[in-house]
Amino acid sequence: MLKMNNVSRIYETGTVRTHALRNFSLDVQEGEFVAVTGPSGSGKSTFLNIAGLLDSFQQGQYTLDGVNIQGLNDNALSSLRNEKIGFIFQNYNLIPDFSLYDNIDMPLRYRGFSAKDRKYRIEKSLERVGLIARKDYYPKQLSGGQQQRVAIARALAGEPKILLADEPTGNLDSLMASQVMTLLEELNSEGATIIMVTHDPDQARAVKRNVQIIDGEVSDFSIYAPSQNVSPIEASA
Amino acid sequence: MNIKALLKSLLLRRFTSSLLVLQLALTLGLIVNSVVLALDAREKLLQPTGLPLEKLLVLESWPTSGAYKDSDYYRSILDEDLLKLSQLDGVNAVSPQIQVPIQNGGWNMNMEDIDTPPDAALERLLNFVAVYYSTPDVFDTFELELVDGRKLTWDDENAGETGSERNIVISESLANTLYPDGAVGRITNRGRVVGVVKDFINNPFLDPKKQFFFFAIGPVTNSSFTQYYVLNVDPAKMDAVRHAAKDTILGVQAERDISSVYTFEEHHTEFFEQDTGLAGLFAMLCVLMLVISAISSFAHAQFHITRQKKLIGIRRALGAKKRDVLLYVLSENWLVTLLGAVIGMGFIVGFNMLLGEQIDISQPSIALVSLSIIIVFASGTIATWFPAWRTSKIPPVIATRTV
Amino acid sequence: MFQYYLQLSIKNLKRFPTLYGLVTLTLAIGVGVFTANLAILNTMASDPIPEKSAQLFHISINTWPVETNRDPITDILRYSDGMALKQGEFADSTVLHYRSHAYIRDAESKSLTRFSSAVRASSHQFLNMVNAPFKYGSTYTDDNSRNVVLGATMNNTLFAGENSVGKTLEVNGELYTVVGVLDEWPLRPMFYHVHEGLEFRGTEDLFIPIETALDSNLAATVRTVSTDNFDTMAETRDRGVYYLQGWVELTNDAQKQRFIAAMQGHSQALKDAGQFPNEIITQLHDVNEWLAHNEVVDNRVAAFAIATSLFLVVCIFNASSLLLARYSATNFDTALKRALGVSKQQLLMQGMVEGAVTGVISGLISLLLAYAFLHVSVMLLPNLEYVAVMGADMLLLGFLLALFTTLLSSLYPVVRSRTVAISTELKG
Repeated sequence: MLKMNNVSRIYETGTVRTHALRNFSLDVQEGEFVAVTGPSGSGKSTFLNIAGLLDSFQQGQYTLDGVNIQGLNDNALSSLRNEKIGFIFQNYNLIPDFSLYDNIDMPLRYRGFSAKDRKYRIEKSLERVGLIARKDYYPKQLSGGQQQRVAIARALAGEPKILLADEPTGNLDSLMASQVMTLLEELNSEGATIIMVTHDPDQARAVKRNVQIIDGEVSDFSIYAPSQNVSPIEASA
Repeated sequence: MNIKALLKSLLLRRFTSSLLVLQLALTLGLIVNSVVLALDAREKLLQPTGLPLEKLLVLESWPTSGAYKDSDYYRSILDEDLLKLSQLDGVNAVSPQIQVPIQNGGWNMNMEDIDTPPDAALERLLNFVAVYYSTPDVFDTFELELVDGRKLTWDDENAGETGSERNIVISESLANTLYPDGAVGRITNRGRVVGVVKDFINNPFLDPKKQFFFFAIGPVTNSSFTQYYVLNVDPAKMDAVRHAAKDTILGVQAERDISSVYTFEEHHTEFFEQDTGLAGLFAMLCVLMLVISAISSFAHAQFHITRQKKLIGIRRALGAKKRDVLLYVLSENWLVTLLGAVIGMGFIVGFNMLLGEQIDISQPSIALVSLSIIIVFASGTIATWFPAWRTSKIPPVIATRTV
Repeated sequence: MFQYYLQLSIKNLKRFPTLYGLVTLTLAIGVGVFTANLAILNTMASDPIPEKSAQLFHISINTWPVETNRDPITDILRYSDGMALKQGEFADSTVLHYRSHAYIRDAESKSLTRFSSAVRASSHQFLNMVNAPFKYGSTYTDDNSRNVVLGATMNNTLFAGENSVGKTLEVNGELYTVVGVLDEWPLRPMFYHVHEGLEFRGTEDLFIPIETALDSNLAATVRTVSTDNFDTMAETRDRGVYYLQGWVELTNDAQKQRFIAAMQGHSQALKDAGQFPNEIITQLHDVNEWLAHNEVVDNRVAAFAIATSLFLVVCIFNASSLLLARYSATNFDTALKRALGVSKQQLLMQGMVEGAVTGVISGLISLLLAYAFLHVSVMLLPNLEYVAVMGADMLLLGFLLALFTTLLSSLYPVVRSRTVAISTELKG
C-alpha cells in the first residue's frame, strides 16, 4: 500500500545541512493501523509530509498504492492526494465559515463528483461519525471531539486508500480522545489503512503496529499484539 | 531607528513595497504638475488687463427684423439706444462696438506705414491689428489713458472708409512697433495717427507688449453681425443697470434678440474657463490619487500587522515600549515615502515634459516639489497612524500563544 | 466546477467586505476616469463619415493677389476661384459653402417670435455629398432657388417635428419654401467646417442655396480675410474676399490627379495674367487628413489622457497590493486545500474566477463613475459638451477594461499564494 525505500530528506540553510530523514524505509500493508512515535524533532512531521505528498524528498523511492511518486507534477500529486489520502490534523483544520456539509463537500468538488454522488458520500460519512443531524452546523458550534469527527468524515468521504492522522487527539481531553480513538479503531477494523503520528505511548500501544523514528531513522521496529488488554472474548473464556 | 533592519524588512516584501514606492512616485508626479497647471491658470487670471473690469457691462444684440438692412434706419435706432442707455442711473459712458477686448480672433486688419515697400519684412502680428469702430465715447467707456496726441471726436467720423485719409488712435505697443520715434502725425494704410493710448489686453494669448489695436469713429450698422453695447457703470449700481438695460433698448425697438448681457468680470473669467477647467480636472484627479494612496498606505500597514503580529508580540515581550512599536511601523511608511519621493522627482520632470508636448505648462519650482512631498508624507503618516496605533496595542502575551 | 468556483468567490467577497470594497472602488475609479476621458478622445478622433471619408477632399489653394511674406491663406476660398474650379467640371461634384446666421420664423405662424439659427449656405450638391440624413423631402436642386432644408432641431421648434415640406419660412424678413427636413444629424466632428471651434458645435439649423444667400446678403459669420472692402455679400463674387469652404468628391486617383492639375492650371493662369504674385500652393486633404491637419483633438483632453492612464496604473498597483493582503490572510485555507488535493491549476482558476466576479462588480461601478466623470468634465470644460458622449462601444470597452485590470491585479497575488508552505500553515 505505502512503501518507502531509503528515503532521505535534507534541509539546507546556508551551509548547514540537516538530515530530517535518513535512509528511511517503511512498508505498510493494506488494512494495517500503524502508530508512528518519536521525540520532538525526530522527523515524524517530515515523514508525514512526505507520506502525504506535501513535501518532496531527495533520495530513495516512494510508492503509494502502486504509483511511483518520483517525477510527478503538481497536478498529478494533487489528484493523488485528493483520491488516495485522507488527512486528519491535530487542530482539525475545518474552514470556519463553511458548514459541516460544505467542509466535507470541498475536496469532493475538486475531484469532480456529480452532485448526487457528493450528497450520498457526505451524508454517508457524516452518518458514520454520528453527526448527520448537524450537517448544517458550523465548526465553532461543535466541541473539539465533534470537530475532529467531522474532519475524519471529510477524510472518509473520498474513500481514500489510506488515512494519515497527525496527533488526532492532541487537542482533546481524555474522554473525547478515547471516542476519536475508538472511531479510528472501528474504521480500521472495517478495513481502512491508517498511519497515525502520536506522542502518547498509551495510544501507540493500543495500535496493531508501532514505528519509532529517532533522528530521522527508523530505529526501533516492534509489533504488538492487537490490543494487549484482556479482550472481551478472553474475558468470557 | 535601525535603518538596516527596516530596509531588510522592506526587501522581504519586495513586490508590495515596490508597488507602493512606484505608486507614491506617480502620485507625486501628478500632484506637482497639477498644481503647476492650477498656478498657471491663476496667473493668467491675475494678469492685469488695463481695463476697469468691475465697471464694464456688455449687451450683445442682433436685429431680427429685415428693416435693419436699411443702414440709415439702423443708425437712427443705434443713436436712440445710446441715448437711452446713457440716461440710466449709474451709467458713466456707453459706446457701440463690433467686438470687445479679451478675445482671441475677432476683427483684425493689417497695418503698415503708407509708404512701406511691398517686399518689406514686417512683424507677423501687424497683420492682425484689432479694429475698434465706435463713437467718441469709447475712450470714456474703456477709461483709456492718452499717451500722446489727442482723442477722437465726432469730427473724425468718416463712415464706411478704411482709406488713409481718416484719423485714428492706436495702442501704445502698436505705436512703439510701427513708429518708435513718435507716431502722432504719421500716416498708415488705415489712417492718420492723431493719438496714442495706453495698452489694454486685447488678446490674452499674445505678449502683453504686443497688444495691437486701433480706434476709428463710425459705428458699424450691419444687421448681419452682432452689435455690442459696452457700458461703463458705477459698480454700486451695476445690478440695477444690468437689470434695466435689456428693456431699455427693447423699448426703443423690440425686433431684436438680446443674446446675452454680462459684466466684464464674467467675460474675463469665461475667457480662461478652458484653462481653469483643465486645472480643475487635474485637481479632481489629485484628490482621487491622494485617496488611493491613503488606502494603500493603510492596507500596507494593516497587511504588515497581520503578518507580523507574533513578531511584534515578541518585541513587546522583550521590552519594546508601545511608542517604539508605533515608531517602527510609522518609520517603515516614512522610508517608503522617501524612496517614492526620490523616484518621484524623475516622474515630476518626465510628466512635465510629456504634458508640455500637448499644452503650455511651466516648470515646477523647488518649493512646490518640497511642499508636495510634505503633503504626501503627511497623508501617508495619517493613514498609517491607525494601523500603527493598533499594532502598538498588541499585548506581549501574544508571543507565548500560538496563533 | 465553475459554479463551485463562483460560490466560493461570492463567499470570499462576503468574508472580506472592506477589502473587496476598496479593491472594487479603486479599480472602478481608475477605469471610470480613464474611460470617460477615452470616450471624449474617441469622439474627437473618430471618422465622422467612414463610408466616404477617403473620397471627399477639402480644397486648399493659394490665390492671394498681393505679394506678401505672411502665411499663405489656402484653406478658405475666394468666390471667383471656387467657381472656376466648380464650373470647369473637373470632378462630378464640387461644392462651395459658408456659415451664416439668421433669424427665422414660420411665415404662417401667429407668433412673431424669430428664432436664432445657424445657417449653412451651400451649393445644391452639398447635402447629398456629405450624406445628410433626410427625414422628409429632399435637397434643393438649384443654387438660385428660394428652397431651403431645415435641420431636425429647428423643425421641432418651428413645426413640432411635423413634416414641414411645402411650408413657407421667413428668413431675415424674406420668404423661402421648405423642400426638405433632416433627421437628427450629430456629426462629430463636423468635418466639412473645422475652424473656430465649429467642429464640435453641431450641424446647422438651416441649409440654403449659396447664390440666393449671397443675393440676400446672409453674412459669413466665419473667418473672412479680404484684400478689398465690401458692403454686401453679393459684392464678394468679384472681389478679393476669402471665406468659402471648398470640397470635392473624387472616387479614384486619376480623378484626384486631374483635379490637382486643374488647380495648378488655375493658379498658373492667374499668375500669367499678373494677378497672383505668390508661390503656387494646391492641396487636397481627404476627411481624415483634413481633421488631422487641423488638430481637431483638443490638446487639453490629450494631456488629461496621459494623466488618467498613469492614474489607472496606480490604481492597478494599489488593487494588487490590497489583494496580496487578502491572499496572505487566507494562507491557511490555501494550505488546507492543497493538503486535501487541490492542484495549483485549480487554485489559479479559483483566483481568476474570484477576480472576474470582482471585475464584473467593479466594471458596473466604473460605468456609473464614467458617466459622473463625463459630467464633471463638461462642467469644468463646457466646450466638451457636444463631444462628451459615451456610445455602446465605449461602455463595453470600459467594462472589459475593468474586468481585465481586476484580473491583472489578481494575477500576482494568486500565483504567489499558491506557493504557501502547506505543513507550516496547517501545524498549529
